[in-house]
Amino acid sequence: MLRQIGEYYHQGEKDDTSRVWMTCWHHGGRILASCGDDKAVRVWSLVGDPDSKPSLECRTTIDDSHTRAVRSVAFSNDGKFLVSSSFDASVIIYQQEEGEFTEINKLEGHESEVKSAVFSKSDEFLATCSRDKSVWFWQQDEDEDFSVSSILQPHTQDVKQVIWHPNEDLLVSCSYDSSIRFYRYDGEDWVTQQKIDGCHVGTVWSASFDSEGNRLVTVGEDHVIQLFVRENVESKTADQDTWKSVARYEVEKTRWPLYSVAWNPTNGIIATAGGDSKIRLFKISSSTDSPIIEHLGVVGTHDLEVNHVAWNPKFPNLLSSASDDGTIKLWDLQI
Amino acid sequence: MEDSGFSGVVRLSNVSDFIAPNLDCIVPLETRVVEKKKEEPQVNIRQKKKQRPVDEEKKSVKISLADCLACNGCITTAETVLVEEQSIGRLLEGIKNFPMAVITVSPQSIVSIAVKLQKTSEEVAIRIARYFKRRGVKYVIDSSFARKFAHSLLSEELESTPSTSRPLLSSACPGLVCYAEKSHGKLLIPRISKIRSPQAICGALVKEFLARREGFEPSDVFHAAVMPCFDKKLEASREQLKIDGTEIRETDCVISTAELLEEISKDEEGNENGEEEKTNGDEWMTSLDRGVIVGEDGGASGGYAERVVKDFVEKNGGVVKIERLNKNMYSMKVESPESGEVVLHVSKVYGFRNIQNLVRKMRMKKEKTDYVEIMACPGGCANGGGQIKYETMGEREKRLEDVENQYEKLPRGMNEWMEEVRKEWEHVDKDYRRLLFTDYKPVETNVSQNLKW
Repeated sequence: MLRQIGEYYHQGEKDDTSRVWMTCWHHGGRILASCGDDKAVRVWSLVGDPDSKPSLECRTTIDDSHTRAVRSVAFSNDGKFLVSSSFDASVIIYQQEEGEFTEINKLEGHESEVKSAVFSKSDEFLATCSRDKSVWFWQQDEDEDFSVSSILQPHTQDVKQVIWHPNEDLLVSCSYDSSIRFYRYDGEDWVTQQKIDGCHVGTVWSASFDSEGNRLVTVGEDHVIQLFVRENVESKTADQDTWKSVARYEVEKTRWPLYSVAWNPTNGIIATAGGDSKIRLFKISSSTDSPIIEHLGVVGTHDLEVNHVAWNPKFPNLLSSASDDGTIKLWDLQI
Repeated sequence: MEDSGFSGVVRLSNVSDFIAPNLDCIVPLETRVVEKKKEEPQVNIRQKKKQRPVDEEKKSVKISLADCLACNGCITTAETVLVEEQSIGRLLEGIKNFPMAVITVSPQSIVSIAVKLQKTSEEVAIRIARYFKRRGVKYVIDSSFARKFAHSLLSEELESTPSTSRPLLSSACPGLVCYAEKSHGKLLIPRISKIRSPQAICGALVKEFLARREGFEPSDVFHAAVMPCFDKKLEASREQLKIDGTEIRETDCVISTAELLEEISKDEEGNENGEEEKTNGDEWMTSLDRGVIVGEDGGASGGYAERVVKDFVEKNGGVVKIERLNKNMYSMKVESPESGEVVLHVSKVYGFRNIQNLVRKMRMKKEKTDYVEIMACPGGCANGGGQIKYETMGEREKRLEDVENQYEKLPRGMNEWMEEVRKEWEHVDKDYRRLLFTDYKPVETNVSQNLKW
């Protein structure tokens, strides 16, 4: 199902590795950014034919920005910016010009480690979340500076990840407090639209929308993958947009958390990254009235915990994974 | 944490841990039974099988570093300790146990209760004063009186602040002070006005000036305050606000508007219009007994920006232009009538998000204002964390507007009383001015930020 076509060390060589936290693809599918405990961000080029064993070549290393591990990295949707968030409580924005990345902004304000920083679909907003339990929304103003638009603190514990809706100004946050929260822009301010407590038993690690944005999957510490659907598909206002859980699947043969989930926008295949070093694939089948999460199997492994998986937005057969074993692996999906 | 009376700024940045907390870990510890392998005794020829005493299974208690870092339980303990220490129970105890008790009540608290009970501010002031007087409190004073002192020092302080040290930030909000001391020590502390907040000035006024005047020592006096937020409880515990050379706090206890309302609602007698209590004392000490509360121009957060602009224009002339930048930000510019050049730029910045943006601008040296009235709560003190809360968003907004409007209608005044007291105070204590000022100190930050991984 999933064939490993490349293995790359984020830093150093085999005996000198440090954890890779995540990878993020540029919308054009030809560039990949990675980040890790070595306090660096690396930018890679996808070289070769995507259908025929392409490979990654490291083009740039940015290692002088953060003072502690870099936890997340993301491209803006127009590809102009790269944003990284770090345990040093700062978020750094880089501008991309002809393959060169220059630091243009350092956003400070979070009280502790920033776990995730992502641009909204329209690139109008940047959302960040942190162990300080808060979720911040930033906007770019006239002087190319980013100013805080809203600061919300609906979680009671560390917020692990924030995920934007593929089309709307809707954000989901996942937290150590076992809940997820939905946020919407009401024209003036960001408000919490819905709170779903007890989503998982323990930390909710990650979530991913499908391509249309009416379904959401979450994964957590309890090695369960859960499906949520939007109840009123028509209405998109804060007080009427509600989501509810319709299916869950517990991965039985493991005691380890599922750390990351990614829903392929083209073919609908869902990939998960597990603390048990395994990458699994799932799909949703709605042959009956209620949707079922179908486990397609363990399709790939690393030597240690897999922290993150990401589908290539342009070449839907390619998947990248990041692991504690210090490597980034490139996979080819063969259905 | 969402319902606690602390400002968003304090909650978000865990600043209350600057109070010596009980560092008891509250993470519920999972006791897992660690099974000990029971060795099979080897069967030896001619050796009796010994009966091994059954070992008590030792319980292993584990807590992971991840749980510890994510918990912030120790911080929460500090806040709960604080809130317990400064409760209405303690306040009533203090009134009983000290020879003299004085309560300071803020006008924002009075108006908030008035709006809730749908009564006039005057009626509520009388009711509150009566409630305390009947329990043995000697004086119930309006914190606005202390604010007059603060206001009188504003323009002098601003004038002596060089432009490189501007903007000067107002000091009345304890949420801002705690945040600055914890998170932006180097940048913000030098810029915070050293003028004490009205509550702190009241503390000195009561325990230094008034106590001695009445023939008491500071240690004989119990001073408590009713304030619109819980952050004021943090302020009352500050090291800098103790009687010189002692551990006596100038303000022993602070309770919030909501806590007071709960108490006076239980008090049946207060509702009756009984005889007016006999009140003895200077006008400023008995004003609330008579239902006289004083407000000021410029909103319910102390009107500092307004006063700075007013004093400036009185001295230098100019045209004032006010602009509302967003729900919680105002810009006030004084332009020279001839050239149109901006000669003074003052702003009002309320709420954590606006404070964050202000701090960013200040750090990048892009902030061009001279003075900022800076408050941690969006909506200012009228919307403080300890004010009366309502259920729905719509009701909250409407009531906040009511509080702001009712506050605006309060009479102005008290300036002459302030001048008289000032003269008298100076007469008994040549150095009294030191009690109108305070200072700030940066606080140890989060230990985990010093980790290298």
